[in-house]
Amino acid sequence: MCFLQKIFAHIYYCLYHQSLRFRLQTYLSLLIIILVVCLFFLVLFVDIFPLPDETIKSEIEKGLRRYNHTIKSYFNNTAAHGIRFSKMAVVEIEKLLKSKNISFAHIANNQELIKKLQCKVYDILYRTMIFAPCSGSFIIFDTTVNTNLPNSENSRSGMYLKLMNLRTPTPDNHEMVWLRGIARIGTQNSHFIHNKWELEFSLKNLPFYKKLKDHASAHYEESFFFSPRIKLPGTWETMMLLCVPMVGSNGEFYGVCGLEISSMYFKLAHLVGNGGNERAIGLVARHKNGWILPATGLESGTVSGYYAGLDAAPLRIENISDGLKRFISNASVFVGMEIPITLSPLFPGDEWSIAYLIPERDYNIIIKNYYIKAILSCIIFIFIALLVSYLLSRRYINTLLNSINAVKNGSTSQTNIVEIDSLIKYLNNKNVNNTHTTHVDMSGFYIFKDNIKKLSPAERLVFNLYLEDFSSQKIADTLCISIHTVKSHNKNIYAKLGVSSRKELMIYIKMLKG
Amino acid sequence: MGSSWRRIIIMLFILPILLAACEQPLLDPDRPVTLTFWHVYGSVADSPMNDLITRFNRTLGREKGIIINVTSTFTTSSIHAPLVAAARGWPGAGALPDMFMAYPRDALAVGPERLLDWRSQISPERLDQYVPEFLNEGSIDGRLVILPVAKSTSALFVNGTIFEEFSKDTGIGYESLDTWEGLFKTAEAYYQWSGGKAFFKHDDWLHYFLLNTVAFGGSFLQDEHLDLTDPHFQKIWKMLARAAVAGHICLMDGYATTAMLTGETLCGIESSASILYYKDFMTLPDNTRKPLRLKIRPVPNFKNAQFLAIQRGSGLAVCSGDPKKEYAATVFAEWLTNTDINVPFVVSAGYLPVKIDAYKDFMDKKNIPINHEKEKELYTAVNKIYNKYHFCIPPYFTEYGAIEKKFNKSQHKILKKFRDLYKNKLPPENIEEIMMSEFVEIMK
Repeated sequence: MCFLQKIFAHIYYCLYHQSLRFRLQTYLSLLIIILVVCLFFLVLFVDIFPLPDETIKSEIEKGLRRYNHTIKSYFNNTAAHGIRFSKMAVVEIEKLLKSKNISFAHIANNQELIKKLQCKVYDILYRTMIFAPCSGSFIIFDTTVNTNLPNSENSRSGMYLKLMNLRTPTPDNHEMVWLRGIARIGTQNSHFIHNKWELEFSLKNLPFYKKLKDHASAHYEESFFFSPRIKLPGTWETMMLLCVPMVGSNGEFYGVCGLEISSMYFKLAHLVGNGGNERAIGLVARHKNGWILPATGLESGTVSGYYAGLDAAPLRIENISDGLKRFISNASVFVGMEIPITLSPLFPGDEWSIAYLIPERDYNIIIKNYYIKAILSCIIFIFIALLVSYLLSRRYINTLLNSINAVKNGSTSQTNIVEIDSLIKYLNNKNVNNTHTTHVDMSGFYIFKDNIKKLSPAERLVFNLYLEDFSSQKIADTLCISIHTVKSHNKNIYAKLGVSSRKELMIYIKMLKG
Repeated sequence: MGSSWRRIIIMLFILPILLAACEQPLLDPDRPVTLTFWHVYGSVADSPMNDLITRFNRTLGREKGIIINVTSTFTTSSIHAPLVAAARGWPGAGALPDMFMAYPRDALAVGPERLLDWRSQISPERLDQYVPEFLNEGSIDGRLVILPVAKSTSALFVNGTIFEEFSKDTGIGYESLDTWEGLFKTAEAYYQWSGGKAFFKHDDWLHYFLLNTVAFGGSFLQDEHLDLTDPHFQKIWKMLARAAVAGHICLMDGYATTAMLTGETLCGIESSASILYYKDFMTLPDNTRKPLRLKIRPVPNFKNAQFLAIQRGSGLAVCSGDPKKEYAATVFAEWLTNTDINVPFVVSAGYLPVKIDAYKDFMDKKNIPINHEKEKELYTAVNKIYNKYHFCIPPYFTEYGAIEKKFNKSQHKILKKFRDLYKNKLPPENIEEIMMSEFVEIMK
């Protein structure tokens, strides 16, 4: 016997000898439970309603598409500004070299020439800073003011201008600080000198400079480079740098210029939309052998949401399902998606990714909440359905019981229930027929009357007591005989008087009494 | 239907309403509330405040469900304009942050009525732990809108390495820097000794005049206007103008710290918080470096004048409106001003603590967690200031920020113009009067 059969057998056993109300209520409840189970399977297998992980995946996919579009455009635009900056700077450098009739190598150790060079290029640096989508601009000349100093091979002259803060809507020169370069040029142009100002750049902080120098070419569109995120020495600021080589018409390397994209600037400029998760994080970072390295890139979130940012720890990527991935570090786990992006055409092996992530805890909470809601909804639905079934069956059966009671009490009034009214009508008709039958059998009554004298004395004694409306048991008690003896007498009485039942006997006795 | 069933059904309807009406906890660690924050600590250096915020986010913030999101950092002077722009909804300004560090003048510009009254969040017993004067400074119209976090004063920062060489040659010691008269004389001597270098730079000339006119018993600022006819102001101006034209004062743009680090000048009067920006060396135009051993002294005062020092330091203001954010900001503020957190922070940033117990310890030179020689120098000087000087709080009214900016800009312009004019020739006898009349003209 299968399990279901067992259940139904059990239910049938429980319902056996139960009231109509109980049976009806049980059948209705079963119906409700079957409906809920069917609905559950429909949701699960027929895919009528999307499951929560599908919904989250779709949101992440949309978020990633939007973020990817924004970020790609941003980096392209920034690169275009950087390339323009480099071309214009090269023109200015060559003008100066031509006017002085010197080669670029002659600039080293010459304070006056370096000052002139910086003054000439300052305007381009400033304008790039104003018009490019960046937090700073810089230019590094491949020369130094003092080759006699120890470590001078790691020191390069140049200028670095950056925004003091990113919240000033229309920054004037005072809100741009002079981080590198001749201090006088900065102050002459009304820039505050950065508290961590230094005269020259240290190449120790720019490890990619040498690589850029080695690969530099005048094809700027193919030789720019976005650096991994670096920390500005002595400050809390971190940033990525767009670096574009400056190559003269004779192929000589003049240095590198570019733009700064500070982490704060990026965070404020590229807020992740609030459409999906309040803690969604957009990330541009290096990708290496199945790992994403947040410390190398930039990230943004929702400012008014509860975005806490990523730790710098690398994120290991694990597939969850069809594009959806888990990003795991020692400190935290995220769920999201990523797509590759090419940031630096100069180094094709330099792989970057754009990722859109939400904390796994949020992902789990969303799924858990969905199931809690679904289970609660089912419980509430079942509860309400059971309540309704109870009330309906009660009302339905009460009407039925009232009608039965009315019939018991001999009422012949209408109940407005077709079936009950039909039953009452039937019973009434039966009573009438019975009365009619009694009337027709008057001949039987005469036989009955005539045959009374045929009863034996003992039978007569019993018959007389029937005449006095005694029950069988009372007759047995009165005559001190057993009930079986009474029944035996009854049998003889019925036979002699020509009646077939006690009821018929009593009718004739009633008629006899008049 | 039985009455018991009726009761159950009624209860089923009422129960959710009762549950909803029950007070919910304001914060949920699973759904943290984010507070955007603009601050002024170390905007262009390693910021001890950013480190503290990271610590808060990883500890109490995580436990309670609060994330502090620093969306910009400023200097104390540069935060005013973006706050005003955001408060007034100027183009490109963006929204006001949930929390910001502000002076009373900034709070006035934003509108004190838009700011949280800390008394509604912090119990009187807890507020009693703060230095009362610091609380008074943050009260506007009876509402405590700025909660003190750290307080600073001004000090004289000297390049001890060069000064001691100069002292050896000239016999002029550090004690000459105790008075303004002595400082101006030393500046003249240094100009001669160094072959024409400026001796000192002041970061805020308005403070110089405000303090010293009051120290002489005058009143330079009356009814929210500057009184340039005040005789004490005229006296102080004359000394300054003459020194500036003679080239004794550094008129380079920017802060005194920068001028000292680039070797442009020898000393500077600036906020005690400037200590954060000092390096151990200065860089000369040929990229060579010279050591810079910092000596820090109290600000000079004029002879026969009262000893006065500025006391300032921005505090924490919160844009009110959201009870959840107000509560979260209070949790952060109380954590930040807790002595265990506050004291190491103020020492690293060159400030003074704001709670009575820690403040008294500082005045008694006890329990100061000093990690660096320059911090020891600073707190020795600060201790002298607090024991000898009276404090003066910069006034605040709506237009104070604009007046301060205009005064400092005009002052700098006049001094620089006349210095450039008479760089290579002798100025007339009444040069300070000519400069004053031009200055008055600009300030009109």
